[in-house]
Amino acid sequence: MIKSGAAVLHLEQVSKSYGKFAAVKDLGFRVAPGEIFGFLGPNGAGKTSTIRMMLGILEPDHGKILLFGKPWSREALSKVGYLPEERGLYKDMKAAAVVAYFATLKGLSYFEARRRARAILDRFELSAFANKKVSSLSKGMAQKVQLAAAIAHDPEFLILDEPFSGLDPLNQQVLEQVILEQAKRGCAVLFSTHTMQHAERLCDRLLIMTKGQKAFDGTLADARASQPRRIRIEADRELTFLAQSAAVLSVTPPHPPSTFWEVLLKPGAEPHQVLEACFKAGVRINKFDASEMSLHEIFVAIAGVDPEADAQGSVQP
Amino acid sequence: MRGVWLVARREFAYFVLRRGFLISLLLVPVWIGISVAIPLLAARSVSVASFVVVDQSGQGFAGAIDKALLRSEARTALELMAVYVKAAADVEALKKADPELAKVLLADPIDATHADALVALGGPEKVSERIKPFLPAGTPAPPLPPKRFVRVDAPPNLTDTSPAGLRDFLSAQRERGPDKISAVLIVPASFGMPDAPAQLWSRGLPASGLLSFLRRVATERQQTVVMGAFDIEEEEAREILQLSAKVESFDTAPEANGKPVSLADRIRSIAPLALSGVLFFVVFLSSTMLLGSIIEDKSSRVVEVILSCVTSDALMAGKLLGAAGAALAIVLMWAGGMYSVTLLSNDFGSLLATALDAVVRPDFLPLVLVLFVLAFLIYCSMFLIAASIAKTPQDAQAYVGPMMLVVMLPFFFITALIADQNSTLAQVFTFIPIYTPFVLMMRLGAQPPAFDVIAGTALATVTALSMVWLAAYVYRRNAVPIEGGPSRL
Repeated sequence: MIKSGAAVLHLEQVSKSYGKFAAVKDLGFRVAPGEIFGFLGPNGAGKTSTIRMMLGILEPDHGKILLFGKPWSREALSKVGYLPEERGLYKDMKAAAVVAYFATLKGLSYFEARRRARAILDRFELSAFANKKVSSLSKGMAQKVQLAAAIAHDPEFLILDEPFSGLDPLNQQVLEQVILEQAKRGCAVLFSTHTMQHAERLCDRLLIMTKGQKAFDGTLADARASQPRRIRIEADRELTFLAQSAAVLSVTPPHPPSTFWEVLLKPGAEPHQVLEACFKAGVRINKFDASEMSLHEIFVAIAGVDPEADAQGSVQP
Repeated sequence: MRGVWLVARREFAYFVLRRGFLISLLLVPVWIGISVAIPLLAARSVSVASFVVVDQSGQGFAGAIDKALLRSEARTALELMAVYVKAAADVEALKKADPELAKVLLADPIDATHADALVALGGPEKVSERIKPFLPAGTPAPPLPPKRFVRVDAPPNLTDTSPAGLRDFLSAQRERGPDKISAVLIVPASFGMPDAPAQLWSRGLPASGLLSFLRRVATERQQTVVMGAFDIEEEEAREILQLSAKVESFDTAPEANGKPVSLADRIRSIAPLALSGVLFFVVFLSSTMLLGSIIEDKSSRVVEVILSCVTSDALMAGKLLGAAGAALAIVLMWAGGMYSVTLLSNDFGSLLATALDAVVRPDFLPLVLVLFVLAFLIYCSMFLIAASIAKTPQDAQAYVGPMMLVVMLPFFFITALIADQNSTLAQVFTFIPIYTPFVLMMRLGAQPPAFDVIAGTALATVTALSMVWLAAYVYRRNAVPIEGGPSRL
């Protein structure tokens, strides 16, 4: 079990530019030990640049990065595991050898690294492929090998850049399990994703970046609280009159094929006030949905893009 | 430092376990073997060329050619038998039992008089039989070289020596198979006059070496005829023609001890030249391996994970060390192979031993090693920069092409550089830093001026260090490609 204490990662006003393009602007946040931290944002928001700065692959132009409570140092990286977005392994190496190689680079002795590589491949049900070359593995297997390489040295801080992309549903479940196990033993896990369901299920806290800047930082409850309460109504007539209600902030007509009107409430207002207004107006309501906003909806509201469409490369507001 | 070592170890394994490395390792010995074997095989597979002499001059050409053929065959046979006897026969027993034969067989160097002596002893076949008792039981008799040319008497149907007649005659001969006559030598009646050359007629080109052989015989014949006009007997004329004045070469170097320049000395002066070529191959090979490794790291994106473990400088240093290890492995394996051959007690083994001795000298080897390291650093850095700024393997190839043209420049002048290793051209190349290590190494056998050695080495050292610094700078900025961003120099 890893000891709790100072923030595993602390960024203070970090900026990075490529020529005239500002990839990251005055970014600051913390990640606590044992915390699962969702690092969200549309493509080009600056997530990968930030992650590369955390790992020393890029140097920030401004700002401070602290790892384990101390100014960033390469020595501290031996306690960090990393799975990059663009996966890659030495194709000519055997699966166990490649896992062990990365573990030795993180400071483990050769024999300990070999032992752990075998154990972790066994845990991922890949022991039969331990002596196979990476080039002979399927894409899913190679991704599991890469994940194994990221955690073989028992890191205290695990950075996963788009870990779920390209994984089949079964392996996505395995990965979710691994993330939960790592957090349980006290390892802080920071991951970026375009699939909000994973973040919603796993994250203790999340940060949403847009255009290189922090747009939100907090828990899922904080994120929901930051947005106006929303009600979705399917009715037999138009509901624009609701805009006159003291409880309502805005009313949006249905976007076909959806048949739901969206009604945003003012702070402190309750859904039953809208229901009452509809009854008074003689509206016949077919469906009334007052459930909380999903992270996907919050992301769309904050970032202004659909994360899944963004992941496919077609950015839509 | 541990990171550098771990990267170097992996890179070394990556280099030496590749099929390309093993092919390269075998390539040079195989190439040397092929270059030795092909002429031998070609010599063995040469068919006998039969020719006819139509002597209209009455100068006795046919007889002179027969004698010359006999002497030529005897000399070739003697050279072959001498090697065989020295390697396999009981030389001491031969000297005691047959001193006359021993004197001929053990002559060094072999000249025309020894060939004549072999003919006097009965010719190659008989001498081969006389050697047999001095060979270990079961050892076959010495092999005899195949005949290359045979003179046959003119057949009765060769009556028309006009071009058309000769064409018909030689065309008809083509159907006779191996016994065919492939050429006709016409010696005109006025042979010896400036406008009356002997003519060798054949369909297409004559058999290789036949023209030069006949030219030599005809020259000797004419010289003999001229000497005859001065009342010099034919035998005396022959002795005059065989006269060979002895001029020996001496080296003023103190280690030569006033002794004439020997074959071993010549090998010693050529060894650095050959070594320079071999090391160029090794450096070039390791540079291209390094280029491949960096491109693979980039294209497989593995570099990003590595750089989360070690610095780009450590990664680069590890890669350089790994490539250096692979280069050293090649050199050691070749040297080991050479050393194994030197243990064989034959001429080739002793030649290689002399070459190896010429290189492994305390006054020579350290400088060779320094130049090798400098060449390695300069060339690897050049390829490293190309690989760093390339985004794809195709990019890298586009950069390497022009680089290769520059690197190969001295090879366009290689003949001139070999002919005079201290020429102005050699000096110019010595002071162009990217060529310095190889050209200087090439010149070491010709005792270049101390200034060239010291200043050239210093220049190459500064260049190598600058190149490594530049390579590290470019690699640091480009090791991880930024999506959509330009390469940064």
